[in-house]
Amino acid sequence: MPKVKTNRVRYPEGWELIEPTLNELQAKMREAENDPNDNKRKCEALWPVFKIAHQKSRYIFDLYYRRKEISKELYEFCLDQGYADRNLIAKWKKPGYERLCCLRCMQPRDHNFQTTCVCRVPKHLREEKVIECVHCGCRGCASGD
Amino acid sequence: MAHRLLRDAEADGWERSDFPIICESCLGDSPYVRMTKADYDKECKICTRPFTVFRWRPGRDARYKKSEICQTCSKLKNVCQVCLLDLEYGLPVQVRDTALSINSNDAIPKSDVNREYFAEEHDRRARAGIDYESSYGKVRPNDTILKLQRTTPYYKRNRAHVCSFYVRGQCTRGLECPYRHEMPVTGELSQQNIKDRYYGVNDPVAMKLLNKAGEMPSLEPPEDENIRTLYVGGLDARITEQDLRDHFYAHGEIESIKMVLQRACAFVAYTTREGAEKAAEELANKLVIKGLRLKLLWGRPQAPKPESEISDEARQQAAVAHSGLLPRAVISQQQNQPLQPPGTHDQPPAMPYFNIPPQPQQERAFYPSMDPQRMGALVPSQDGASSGPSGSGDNRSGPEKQHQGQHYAYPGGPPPPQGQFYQQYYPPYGYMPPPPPPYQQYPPYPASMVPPPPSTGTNHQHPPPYQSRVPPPPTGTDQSAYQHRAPPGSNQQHHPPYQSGVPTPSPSAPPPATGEQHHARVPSASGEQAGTSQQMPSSETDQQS
Repeated sequence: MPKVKTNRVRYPEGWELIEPTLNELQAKMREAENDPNDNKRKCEALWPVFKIAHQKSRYIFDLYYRRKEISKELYEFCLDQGYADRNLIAKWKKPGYERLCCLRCMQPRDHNFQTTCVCRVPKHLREEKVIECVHCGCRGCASGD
Repeated sequence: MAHRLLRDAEADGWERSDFPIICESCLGDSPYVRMTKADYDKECKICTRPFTVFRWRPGRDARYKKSEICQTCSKLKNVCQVCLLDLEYGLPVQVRDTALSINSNDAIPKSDVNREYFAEEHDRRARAGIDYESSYGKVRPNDTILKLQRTTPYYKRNRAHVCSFYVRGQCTRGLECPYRHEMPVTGELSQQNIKDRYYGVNDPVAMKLLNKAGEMPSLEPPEDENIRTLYVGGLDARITEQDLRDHFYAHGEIESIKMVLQRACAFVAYTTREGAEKAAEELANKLVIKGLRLKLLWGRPQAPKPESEISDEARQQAAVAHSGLLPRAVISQQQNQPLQPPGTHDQPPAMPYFNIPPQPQQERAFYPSMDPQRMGALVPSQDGASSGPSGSGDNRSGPEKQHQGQHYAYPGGPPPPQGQFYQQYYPPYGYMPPPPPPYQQYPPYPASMVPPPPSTGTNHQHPPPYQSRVPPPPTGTDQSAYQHRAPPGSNQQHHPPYQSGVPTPSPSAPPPATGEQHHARVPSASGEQAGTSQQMPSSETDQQS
């Protein structure tokens, strides 16, 4: 048999500090994926997945850009390994999208009349105050509130 | 068949359109509407052919609505694509067809291939511009349909549907639930079928509407031959005197039109009684000016404006009194003051308006202790005006009539023959009696205390309860009360509002009567004068039943 080359994962330094949190988040994600969605709506069953994905990305984004506690190498490593969503973080760097919930809510192509999801509308401009957006269950991700 | 794939958009006959055929209510109250258009999105609920579905939200608090039937089907019956009600009148198909005597049901096949063929043929002809027999534009609206039609859009049907989880108690969405958290209205009207509604067959809403139409009351001319004025209610600032003139001139010569804008009403007076009757007959339920449905009733011969304030006030207070909110002592004092000034002249002051719904039958617990005057409070006497006409009739009424304030319960002192006299003045019970003074003279209640001679049916309703209630209270106090009542009373002044209100609607009279009979029974059962008082209720029931 030809030699099969596998890439072994080499963890950069500083990994041990963030590993436990990331493992916890991974476990939560697995739980969300596997939970029996009995009394939930079809779309509602997917909401925890989006929520935890946001949470994971947020953790890494905060560590690198806000608290500056990890190195660039470690940050890139996390992004490559899939512990955070690169595209979502790219949006968070833009003004007005600092709290974006997920990438679908912002995409006008995905909506009727080429608008964004209702969760992007600030609360003081909305008519209904309590909403849960249908994609990710977000209750409002405008930067103001 | 509609269930094959679309090969050729032009020839296949699947329907495409640019804008839906919908009614105002379904389009909504907002001037900003965004509509999505989806070609061949769904099949028509009637003919099952694919058609262009439009979807929009008719207003802020509305659910999303979409077209349910195709344009061919909607043109065949001249109905809205969403709600399947007539485009012009807003009525179900069955109602419109029976009212206008149209019957096109035979021409439209209802089964499978026949139906599709018919629909396609029709569609082809319409597109080619061949004028098919659309009878809807040519039919003249007749009376019935004018009475039944909807004049303003009805947006309540655009509300969200009822949350079925809430009905079971399981709605976990809480505040963000877009469905209505109310209990659903069940009943015969909830079992509706779209095909039945479309073909106009076996539609429960239509049957209900037709039954109601059959029973709509017609405007009865009043007994008093002098009344030539019609009251028009529900006015708006947009309606001018000229509009009224245009509508009313056709039936007779108009003597005068008086508009009372602050009360949103107008009075149209004709020179002849026949003109007024003709107008009432023709316009009774069909008066619609500038899209506003107006109410038409017979008017009163008195000038409305000065009395209106008084009667309004009196009525309001009467209403409050009757709902038992204020103690009678307070009310009697309140009513004494405003009623004093009008009482000074001979005109009977309070003419209630017909548009104000008649006072509900007042249950007066006629105990002497409830009336301060019975208990001996002195009220300044009224002038001799009230005592004047008393000479014309009833002696026993002498002391009583001159009461001011209110006596609701009279001791059953007056002997029957004099009571009969009273009754004679009563016939114009809900209307202005021709001689104003007797009106002043007769507080209704004392008269009604008397056992009712079989003179007028309407009077029956009132007398029984009072009679039976009055005997139980000891007559001793009655005599003393009489003596206290030497000062003339102006209570009759507020009575007129009640009077006309109460007996006029004949349908409402029987139910209160039965209610009062119950009341009548109770005191009579407990009263010590059981013998006499019981005889009276039984005699009343004989007469009444």
